[in-house]
Amino acid sequence: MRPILEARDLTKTYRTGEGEVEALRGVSLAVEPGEFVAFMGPSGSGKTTLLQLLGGLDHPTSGEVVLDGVSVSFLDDDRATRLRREKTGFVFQAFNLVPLLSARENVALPFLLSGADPASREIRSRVDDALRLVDLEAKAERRPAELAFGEQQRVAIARAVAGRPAILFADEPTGNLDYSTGLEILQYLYRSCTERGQTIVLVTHDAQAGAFADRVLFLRDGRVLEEIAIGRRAEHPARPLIERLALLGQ
Amino acid sequence: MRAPARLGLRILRRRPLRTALTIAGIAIGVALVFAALSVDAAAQSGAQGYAAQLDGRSDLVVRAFGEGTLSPQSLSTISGTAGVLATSPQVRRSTFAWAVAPGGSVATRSLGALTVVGVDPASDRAFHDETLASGAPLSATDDAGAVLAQPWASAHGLGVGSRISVMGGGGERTLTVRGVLAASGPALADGGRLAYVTLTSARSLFALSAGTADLVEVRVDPAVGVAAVETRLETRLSAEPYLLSTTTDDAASLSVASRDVGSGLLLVAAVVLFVGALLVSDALAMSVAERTREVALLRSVGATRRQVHAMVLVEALGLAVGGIVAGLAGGAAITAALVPLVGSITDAPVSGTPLDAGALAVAAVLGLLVTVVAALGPAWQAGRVSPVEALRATPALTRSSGAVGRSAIGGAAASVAGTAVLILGGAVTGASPPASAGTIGSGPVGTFLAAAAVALAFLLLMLVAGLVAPAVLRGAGAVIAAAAMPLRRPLAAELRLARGSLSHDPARVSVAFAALAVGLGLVVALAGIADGMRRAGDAWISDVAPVDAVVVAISPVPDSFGADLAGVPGVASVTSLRVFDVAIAGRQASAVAVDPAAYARLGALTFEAGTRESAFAALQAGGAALVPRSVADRFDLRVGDALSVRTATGEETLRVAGIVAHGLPGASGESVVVSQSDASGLGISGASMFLVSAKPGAAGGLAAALSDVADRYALSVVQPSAIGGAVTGALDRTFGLLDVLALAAVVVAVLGMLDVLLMDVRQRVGELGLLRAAGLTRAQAWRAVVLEAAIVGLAGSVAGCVLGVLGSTAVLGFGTTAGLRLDVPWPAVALAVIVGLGGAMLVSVYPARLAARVDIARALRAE
Repeated sequence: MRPILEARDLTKTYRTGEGEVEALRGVSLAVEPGEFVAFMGPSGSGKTTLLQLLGGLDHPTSGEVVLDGVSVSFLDDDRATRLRREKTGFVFQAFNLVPLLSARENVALPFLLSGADPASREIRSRVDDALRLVDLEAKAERRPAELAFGEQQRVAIARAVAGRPAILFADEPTGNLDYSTGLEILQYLYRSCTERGQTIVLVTHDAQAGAFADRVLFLRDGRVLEEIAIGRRAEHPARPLIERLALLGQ
Repeated sequence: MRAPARLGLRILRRRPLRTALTIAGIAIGVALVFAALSVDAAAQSGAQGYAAQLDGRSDLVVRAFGEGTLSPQSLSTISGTAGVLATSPQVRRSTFAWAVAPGGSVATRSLGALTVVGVDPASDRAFHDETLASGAPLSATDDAGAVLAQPWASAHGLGVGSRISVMGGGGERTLTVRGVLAASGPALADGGRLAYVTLTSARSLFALSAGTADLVEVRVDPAVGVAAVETRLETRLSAEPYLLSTTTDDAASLSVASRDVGSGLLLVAAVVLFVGALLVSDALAMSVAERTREVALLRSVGATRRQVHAMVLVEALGLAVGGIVAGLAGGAAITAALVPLVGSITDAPVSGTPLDAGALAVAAVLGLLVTVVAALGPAWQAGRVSPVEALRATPALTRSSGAVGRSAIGGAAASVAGTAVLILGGAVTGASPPASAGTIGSGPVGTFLAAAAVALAFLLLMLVAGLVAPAVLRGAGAVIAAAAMPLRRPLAAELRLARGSLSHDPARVSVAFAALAVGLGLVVALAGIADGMRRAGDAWISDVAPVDAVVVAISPVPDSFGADLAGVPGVASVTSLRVFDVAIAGRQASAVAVDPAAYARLGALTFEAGTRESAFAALQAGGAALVPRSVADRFDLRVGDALSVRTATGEETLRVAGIVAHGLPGASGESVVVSQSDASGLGISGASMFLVSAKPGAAGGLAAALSDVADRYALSVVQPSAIGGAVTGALDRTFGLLDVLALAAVVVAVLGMLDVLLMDVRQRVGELGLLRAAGLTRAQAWRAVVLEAAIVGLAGSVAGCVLGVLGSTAVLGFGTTAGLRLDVPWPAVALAVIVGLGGAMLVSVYPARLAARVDIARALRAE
């Protein structure tokens, strides 16, 4: 099967006032369609930088990212934006929602941005479907400020999957949430993967979250330190795995 | 206290663009106040200097009333009054002149109007310094000679040896030019259209009795004092009516027009400064909101409330100093540009770039006070930040409506404080005395009360603006969405984001919206008032002279000239009028003698009390007068009242037969209408103008047809529209000037909007990063910001137009006799919408560019 996402020898160097910082030092990887992959590692290991390069949010210093057969690393801004809009969905730790739009409008945002009519039957149906996935149909007209933090993150998941993207990137989606709400969010992500075949790339430093993935890549100092294929969660006991991941992540 | 002060100044350095914008807002206000006060002071000193040059060393001038003369007895009384050091009698009359060809005796070329001044050369030199440009001074016995003033002589190619012919009641005289006076001193009067002749020559020319004069210049013994001599003269002069004026009176009379302009300038400048104050208050409030966590951190590590207050106030002080320095420099430049403009509006010459020290001090204190007072609200707001805010993940950055209310109150408090300084400043600089238009204010107190009223109205407007902003912004958003309907699909996302952003946090832009509305409202209101006054002027002229041409005599001519005018082809009728001065209840007024039947046939005059038929019948029967509304109000007259009218040669008691809306303009306001037979009883005869109606289809060439006869009798032909045009031209210059300054308020408001948009983009970097990550293109981000500015611009324009139209309607309705009538000055409304919408969109380009260039990765990383 052709990978949906490939990274080839990615490097990223930032210039700071005190010199250069190498955030990534030659990372290569491939993600299969329908796979749930997690990047783990300590703070400053380069996992968020890697996600941003994979999602076309930033350009690598060298190397290449191929998303669904298209090399995204050196596209001009407009084409990269269109590709992001059509092929990807994002869930972030904070600022997940546009505060001035309702939950439904936030979910419909990618369609609105692409110039599609959010009132059309097809788009309404896709938005409703996404809201249903995260059990928020009843609160669709509320503004983000009127929703709990966990609900806001569920809206963000609905928005990320509504456009049926080739891949969903989630950057510390549980970072701002308490334990049980975070678990709930991970279950929704997992559900989209198992029920809809959604490919997911998750960045986390939380072993509990990493245990939801099919495969975990550990990063340290801008390199992939270790890769563990753990298989679908439903097929293995979670607790020993979580303990092992937690040890690795230290 | 030093650390917070340093922090306050560092904040200004950290946000250089915002600092520059806020400083620009203050600077524009300070510059305009400085310029308004400087120009006012320059106009006053120009008027005083001009009056001093005209009056020379005279302290008092006694003038004959109306067309009378001062008798030899009066002249002797004046010179014999204790305290009078010297006198110089003059005959001063207007006439027409013609050039006489060398060697010939026939007038060959009309030289137009000329004022002949008869003087005794010896006594005149004791009062005025004459500077001869060429030739010799006038000799006391040279009754055939004349000395001309240079401007007029040069304009007509006249020099020493030239001969001119002048006409007066005593016939025609040919005078030889002996000398030409340089354009200074008394030679500046009447635009230099002057010919000095001997007293004997002037008396002979105008058929005046020996020993009489039109006026006497008086030099007073300083030990006795002008006031004492004035009192003595009033007691002793009783032979005939006269007018007594001092040099100060003359200066005041010359500076009336400049004072009106000065008052208008100051009012507009005050509004601009108040708009600036509001934006300072808003900018500081936004700055405090943006730094909530920073302030909370300071508080958590031990900064007292007082230290936090000091930090904000030092920030304001820094802005004020920058604004004052830039404003004073800009004000000097604006003064230099305004001086010639104001000089073209006023009677007295205004020149140079006089930078008045008092004006400088008032503008600087005003700028400082207004800025610091505007900062009090934000300082209070900063002091209330709890240290707990430092621990919150995302401190609230949106502003509550209460915060907007505080900005409004801060701005208004600054405005009221500013008005207080203006009042004190007025006392210091002596600026801004009466406005004669009767529309804005009257007298220094009136002007400053008007400024105070503006400040209070401002407070009200800002509070209302905070309340109505969401609805108006929604409406403007809907209009722009509808206008973009053909492009709706491609623009849907940008429109949704722009409208959503405004509806999510309308308080954020409501101050900029209100400031824009006030600035544009001022532009529209001024245009509406100017239009109303133009309409009133046109209506006045067509009411009192509903004819095709007016033939004017510079001094009274025989009625029989009218018959010659009536003989001109195309003329249907000629009605002669005689405008003259009268005294009513001891006060100077104007009257016009008419042939009641002929004047009634023209359909002239609009009656407010009494009926047309009965009033004209009473006028025809004699012993009656028609009184214009302004005169009726001035003397408290009603139909049926007795009206005692006095001239130099007679006195009559007339009955008021009707009150009319307007009368013909005379030297002292609108003229009371009397019949020619009653005027004869007052010693008034002849005609000073002829109203000419054309036969059907002949109106077009009437002026040309009349000019032959008119030239023969030294009359000038004027079309009523030209009178209206002259009025309109003067109004256009005055209101155009005020409009330009009102646009400065718009510039300040637009700068404020730029500030708001910049802050908005900075605060929403995370949100923009998210949107970009979700697929918003750079172009879409750019358009969303521009559309947001367009919505605010349109809302501000619409609100400004509504405010302006209501304002001008109220001013015209309550300040004049026009009554309440809703008239929309469409060109000004179109200008307001273009400037408001265009200005807002223009300044949004830079913030939009910042929004489009948000680095997604960095924006998300930062959060």
